[in-house]
Amino acid sequence: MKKRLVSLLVCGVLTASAVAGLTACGGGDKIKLTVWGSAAQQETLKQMVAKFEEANPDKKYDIKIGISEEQFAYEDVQRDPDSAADVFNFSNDQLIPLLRVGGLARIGGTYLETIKANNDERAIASGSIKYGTDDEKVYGYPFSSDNGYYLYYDKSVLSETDVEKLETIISVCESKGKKIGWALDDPWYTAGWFFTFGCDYRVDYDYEQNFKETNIEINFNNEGGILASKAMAKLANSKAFAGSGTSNSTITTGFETGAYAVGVSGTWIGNSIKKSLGDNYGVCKLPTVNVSGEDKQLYSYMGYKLFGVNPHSSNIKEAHNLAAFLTSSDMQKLRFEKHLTGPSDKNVAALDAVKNDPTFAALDAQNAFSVEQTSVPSSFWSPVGSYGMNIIDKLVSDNPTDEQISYQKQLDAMVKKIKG
Amino acid sequence: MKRYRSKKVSERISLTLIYTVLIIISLIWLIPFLMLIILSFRGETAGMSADYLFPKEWSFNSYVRLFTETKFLTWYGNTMLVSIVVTVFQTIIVLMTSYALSRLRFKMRKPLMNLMLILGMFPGFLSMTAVYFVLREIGLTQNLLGLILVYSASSAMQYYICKGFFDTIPKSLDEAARIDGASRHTVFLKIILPLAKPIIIYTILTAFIAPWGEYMFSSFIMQNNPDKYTVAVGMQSWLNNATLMSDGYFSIFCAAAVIVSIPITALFIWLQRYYVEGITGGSVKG
Repeated sequence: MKKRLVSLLVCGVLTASAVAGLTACGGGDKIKLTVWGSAAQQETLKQMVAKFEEANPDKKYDIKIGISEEQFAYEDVQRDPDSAADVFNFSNDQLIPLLRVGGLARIGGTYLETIKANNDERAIASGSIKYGTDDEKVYGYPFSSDNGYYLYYDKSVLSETDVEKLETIISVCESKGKKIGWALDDPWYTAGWFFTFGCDYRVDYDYEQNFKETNIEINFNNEGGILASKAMAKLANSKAFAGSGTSNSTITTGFETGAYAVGVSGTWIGNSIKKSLGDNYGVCKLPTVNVSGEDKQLYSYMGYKLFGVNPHSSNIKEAHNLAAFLTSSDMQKLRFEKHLTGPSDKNVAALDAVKNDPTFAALDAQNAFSVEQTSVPSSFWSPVGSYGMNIIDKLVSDNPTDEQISYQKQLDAMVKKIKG
Repeated sequence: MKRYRSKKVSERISLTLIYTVLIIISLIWLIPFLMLIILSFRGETAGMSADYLFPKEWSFNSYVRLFTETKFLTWYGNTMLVSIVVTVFQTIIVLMTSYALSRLRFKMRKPLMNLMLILGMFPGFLSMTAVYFVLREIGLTQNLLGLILVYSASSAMQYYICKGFFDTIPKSLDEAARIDGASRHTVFLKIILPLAKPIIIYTILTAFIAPWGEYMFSSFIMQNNPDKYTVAVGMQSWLNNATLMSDGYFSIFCAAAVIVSIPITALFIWLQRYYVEGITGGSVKG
């Protein structure tokens, strides 16, 4: 009995290690690649990979698909760049962190020519670095221009003219008892209010020293910052404001239960809201806001999503082939049809089906009033988010009471924190 | 007579009070589980922020989608495999270590016990990066065998309760057997083990539960390979994605959690009485 158990165990371990060994060295002449994509697009990615294999019938591929969200690309790659995927997707704000760990291969030759021929210039720039007199170095294959946000609304509550001005949105929602979901405490959304009034920042990097931040310029504490605070307070102090902790899932839930009439987010929840609202699905650029006597169009952040190639890849040429294929016009079209992912490809964006789609039209309209999410100071996010939170909690004010702090004082503190 | 009756009344009052408190506490304990089960039957896609509990539409949809749309079955199989193998390894190692430390006398016994106790105080994830690179060198990352190795490697350090239990078994039994010509391992297999049923079961239970719900090591070792995920890592990958969460994956998550809790609950109900015996028996003599 005992002997049998022991021998069984030994057998088990041996078989397991044998299987492990076999999978490690099996499949000789196949080209092995790994590609990472977002969890929501795994099925689509699988189809695309199958199409890639079909398009290259002379080669034998063994392509594995893994999960990695664009916004966490740096985290996933830096853990072990050697064994990270050969091809992975990333949002363009991850570019510098990824370059710091040597996670991106430079793109050149015909690959680069194809990218330049097909894609929007801003999209290409978002995945590239230019410093000094050097040539621009391109590191990413853009596939989406949709890393930005705009306004979703319920057409049964608000009309097309209502959503042009924040003031009308607030008054209509207040009178009809509906909520506005706008993540004022999420720095990605908070920052847009500052950009509206001309605030900006600039980071200088030392390219020789692994992109070390040498100098941060930021003017969020000027009069523009005060106006932005007043504008945010206008929304936050309304009883129609949904409150802190607004996220993608509170917005989709809000639309589904009918509690929300307005939500600010991006394409990734578009299909879900469409399903909840049906014919009342409304989508447009952000409204204007009036705090200084004139209507100011609200700005947003915008970014791109790209595929990158891992320089540690054992088959770097094929990795480039795959990345180029995944970002080609046809694939961008497919991605738009299935997931509403806004294309970065000029030809796809010009297609009638895309151009006339209300969601893409809203994204495109808002992109004209947006700041690209590149070279953001690494210490930017948390102080800006906290400031938004302070406004929601009414801890700051233009005319502070004893318990409150003035906008100026709090903004100065915020800027100091960001500058480090 | 009168006195006796009043004692009965006061006893009743105190019992009523105790039971009321206990019922309230158990309700507080049970609410999260009940919520989980109720939420898993949500027919609509509303997420975790919906301000109501009972579904507007009761449905099995989340369970259907769980098994048709996602890789949950693969993850479940992975977790089951890892947990069972780890349970076998760990139980054998713990029992053997405890027997040695309880019955044999050798030079380094005390220092070894102390060393293991101190090492056990450091949380395992401190060594995570180092473990990862060792596994990578031998090619066991993104591999279930690697995970099994990691989980069972430090099993011996959990000898404590088991050794305590072995200490309570009279030594004279061993001695009698030894006089009759039994070897050390006959004593272990034929005398100690049959007497140690509760502690074996306790070891099996704890050994099974740890890898079943473990997240940190498995996410670190399996990284981005969804075919090798355990349930904890796989379910977390849904939470990271806004599109999925807005598409009813919150209810699917709850459904998955219900399915995940089934084997553990079953195991507990089945082995419960041994578990209590094991824990209390083992702590008689520290």
